Amino acid sequence: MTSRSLKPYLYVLPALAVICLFGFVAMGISLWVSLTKYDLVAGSHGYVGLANYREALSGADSFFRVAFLNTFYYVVLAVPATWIVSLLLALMAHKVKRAQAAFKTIYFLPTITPMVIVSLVWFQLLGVYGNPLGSVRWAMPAIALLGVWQACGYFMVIFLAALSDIPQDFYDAASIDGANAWQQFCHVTIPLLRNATAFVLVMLIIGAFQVFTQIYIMTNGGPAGSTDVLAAAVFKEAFEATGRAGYACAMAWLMFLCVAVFVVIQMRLTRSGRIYD
Amino acid sequence: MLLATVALLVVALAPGRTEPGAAELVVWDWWSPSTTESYKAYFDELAQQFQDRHPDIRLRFQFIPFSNYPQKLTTGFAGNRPPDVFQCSVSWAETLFDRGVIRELNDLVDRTPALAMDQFLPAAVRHNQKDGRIFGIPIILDANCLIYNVDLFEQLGLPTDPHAIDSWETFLEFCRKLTLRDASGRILRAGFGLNSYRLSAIMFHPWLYANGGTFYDPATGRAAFDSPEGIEAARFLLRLRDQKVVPPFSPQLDIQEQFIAGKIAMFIEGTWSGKYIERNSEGRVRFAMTNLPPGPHGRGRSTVTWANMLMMSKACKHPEAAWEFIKFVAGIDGSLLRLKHLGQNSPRKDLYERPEWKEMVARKPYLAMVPEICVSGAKRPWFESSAAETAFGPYFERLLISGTADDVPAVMHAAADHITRIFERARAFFVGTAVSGPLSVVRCQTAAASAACLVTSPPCRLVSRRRPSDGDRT
Repeated sequence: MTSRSLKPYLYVLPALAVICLFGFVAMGISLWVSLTKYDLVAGSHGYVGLANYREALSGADSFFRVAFLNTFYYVVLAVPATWIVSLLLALMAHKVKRAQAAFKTIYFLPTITPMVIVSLVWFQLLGVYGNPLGSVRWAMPAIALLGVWQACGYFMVIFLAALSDIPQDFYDAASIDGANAWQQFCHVTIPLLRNATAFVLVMLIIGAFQVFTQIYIMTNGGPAGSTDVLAAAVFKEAFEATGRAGYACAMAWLMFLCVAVFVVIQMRLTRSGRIYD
Repeated sequence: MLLATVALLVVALAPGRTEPGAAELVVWDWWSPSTTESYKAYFDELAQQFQDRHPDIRLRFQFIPFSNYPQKLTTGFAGNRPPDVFQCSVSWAETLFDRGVIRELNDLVDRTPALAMDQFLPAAVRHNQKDGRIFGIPIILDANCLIYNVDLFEQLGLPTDPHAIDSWETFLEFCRKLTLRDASGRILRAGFGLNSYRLSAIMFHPWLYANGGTFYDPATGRAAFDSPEGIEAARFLLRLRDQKVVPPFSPQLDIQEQFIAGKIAMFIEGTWSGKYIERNSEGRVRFAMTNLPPGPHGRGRSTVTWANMLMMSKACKHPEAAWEFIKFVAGIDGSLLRLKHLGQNSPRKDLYERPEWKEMVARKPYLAMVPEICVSGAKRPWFESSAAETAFGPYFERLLISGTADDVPAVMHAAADHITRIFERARAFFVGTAVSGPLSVVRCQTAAASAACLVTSPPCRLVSRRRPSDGDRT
């Protein structure tokens, strides 16, 4: 191999080393820990095979099942809502000819505001308006609402970029064929946004399954456990209970599998076919 | 370029420069100079006085908020970078010791008469040792207590004597008189501050112990709050809710804030709360503290008392220097500093004989009852308490939000069963793993006993499987 052909590999080596060390090595360790009885402080452990996974899936006090259902509920609420709202905002912003940058900035602001601050503000705000956080039924929808508000600016920008890439000719041709605005939206815009939609949905599903900060700040899993989610369950088991780091890692791997399954399903459903790459 | 980067990294990662011969101690605390100006003054004077006496020891304080403290401790120990000395909550102390990362202090205590266990109030030295092995030196003695607005009591002609509320029925009667409603029935002022959200477990404990119950029974290894005493305590809290003498429950409800605003007449917090109420109300609210009246099954006024402590990690490189620091902070001089700056009582007996304490009580009358409250408090076992309270919260929260008196036994039994399994799991961890240190517990099979039994070492002795080897014995 010549020095010329080695050069590109040397360029990517530092980044690859960091990714391997903090990504794959850490994942490997957590996979191993999930097969042991492990305590973060004592460090002692014993190989238990798949016992932690069995306990998560079928144990008498399995926090995993409750947390999974709550997390799934959050995903169902937050993912479609964020997708729809961010697409609508992008469509509106796309039509605006003046001060488009100002609109983009305004909608993007919640995304760059730290979630801790946003959560504290919403916590007080929701207390004034009916206090859904105090209701077993409404706490999760309220948290999902915050998630939508916070995330839609970011995804709006992605949709906006994708909308700008759609050639005007397509709309002109559709118009000549007699398509109205709704038909143009359904048969031109939506199909040509499939690449962006696939990306947005993958990111939304991953983010929604990992929801943690707003719940930790606003409800800490309450009321009555109605907002206990997977990431919080992993955190609580790892740090609050003796010798449960292995169990927490097993839950984290199950969470990873859930996300992977949903992402694969979603990728198959929104396979773009590389329409106009 | 590469060399320069490496050199920069080496410089950046190098440990701080220490004077030749000086020992550097890393000290962790959740109290912080940034909490209030009083804490800043306390830490400034503490560091100054200690440095004057020990110029050869350099203190490096690291302040970590209480809510992040257990996670930070865990990662510190997991990464083998724990603090040398740290303030430890009673919630985590015993389990840290059980995990073999804390230095036993008996040898140091034996040669330090000022820190002998008989220098402390009995209530202060029941959570810092196990089977005679001392793992922490108490520096603060805390108890849950009932805090009441003296001005409101006087306005309504209610007796302000701390012992005037002598039963739960009298308490309820006081609550009714103190509750103020408008014409529509909306509560303008609640007799008592109770909230179902987040704090529900903490709200329950003092009532449980005032009724003669206990959260955990070391003799059986079971969660014991589903006893008749516990069920009665939970039902009493539901009665307070149903009689509408408490504010509407809300996640945003800040009970201390409402107390200061005059919208709540009584609430339960801790003996440490006085300084915050005084500061946040700018001295406008006249209040007093007392222990809880006995419940129907109670044996006199009571509450829950505990002592937080200073601990030394096993990894401490300068144990002698660390002990000097502990001696100073947990000794009478450290106690006097906390009294002076924080108005804090002490686990030490000798503080209460000092003129400084009497002067402070004259200045802050709410402190007068603090020794009695602390001494009257029951010992609450803190074994695996974080996990237990996390599990207990949702059960009790649901009960307070929508439960009825008839629901109480079933909910309490379900919660107790769940938490008993948590205790069993934690005990099994210590049984099934070889944790270093004197507490290692091993499973053995004897010829005499066909069933597996637990044997603690040393000395080797048989104990029933249901009996917790790591229970809360003092």
